[in-house]
Amino acid sequence: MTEKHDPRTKLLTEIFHEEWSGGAPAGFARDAAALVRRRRRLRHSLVAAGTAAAVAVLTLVLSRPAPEHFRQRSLPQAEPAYEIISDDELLAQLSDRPLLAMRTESGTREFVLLEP
Amino acid sequence: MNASSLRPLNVTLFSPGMEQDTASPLRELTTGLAQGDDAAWTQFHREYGPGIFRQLLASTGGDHDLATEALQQTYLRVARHVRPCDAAAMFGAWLRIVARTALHDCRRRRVSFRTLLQRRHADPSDAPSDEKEEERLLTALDHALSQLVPEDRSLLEAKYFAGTEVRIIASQLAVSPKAVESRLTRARAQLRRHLLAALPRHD
Repeated sequence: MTEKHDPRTKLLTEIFHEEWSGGAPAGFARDAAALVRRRRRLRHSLVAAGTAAAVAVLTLVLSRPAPEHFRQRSLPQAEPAYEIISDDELLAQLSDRPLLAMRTESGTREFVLLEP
Repeated sequence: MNASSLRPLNVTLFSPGMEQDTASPLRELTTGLAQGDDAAWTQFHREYGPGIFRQLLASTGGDHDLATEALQQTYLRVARHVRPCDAAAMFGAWLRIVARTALHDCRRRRVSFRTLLQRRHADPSDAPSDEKEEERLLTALDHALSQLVPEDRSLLEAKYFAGTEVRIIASQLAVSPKAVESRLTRARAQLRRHLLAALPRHD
């Protein structure tokens, strides 16, 4: 399709466009080149924006704390509220100290150790 | 890529599968086109533009405005879809298709589709091939050339067919190059009138 195939092609173009290399048709070529560059810039911007968005989403997902039920908790060892000791231990701890027995409103008895 | 780095495209056809040590000139050109390189587009316009315009001019029966509009659309379509290519024949065929479809769309914008359909329906044979249309155009050009006065015809033949530079023609005719340019402009205008008169418009 080049004009080298037939010399009449160049004559034909210059019959209708005196300034083939510098006139309006050359402007079409410049416009087309500019269009390609715009499209490439846009494509690169979209790719960059997409990559940035993907990285942001990934970062957000990775940095988010795990849900409560997924977290492994170390429960503190609960101290027992009471201790069962033997009679001998009890007597040893009282060691002749006076013990006051009080009747409560509910009818039960409460023991209070009287400190010397 | 700059203008000097682009090689001329007079070596082209490669058989499929042929190994190339270096990038072919056509591949360089099409890569430059795909990258929006101004030098590549200038080369494309210089080497392929006239052929595209000839095809469009032939298809429009000499409607220079429509052919020019379609040329612009062809360039924009090439800009959108061009890819690096090694095969000159394939690239040339692709360009012809792009130009044909661009012209078709330009026509559709000008003429209502319904009118076009009616005309195609009325005369289905009215769809000559690109080659026949170009042949018709070139025949009309030859006819128009034969109608010029001998001096003008010789001048155009010297510049366009023999490739003689204007300054050499000027020295042969013992006139200034500017005078030769003026005579060429007048001769082209005259040739254009004869050509348009010889071409049946069928858009």
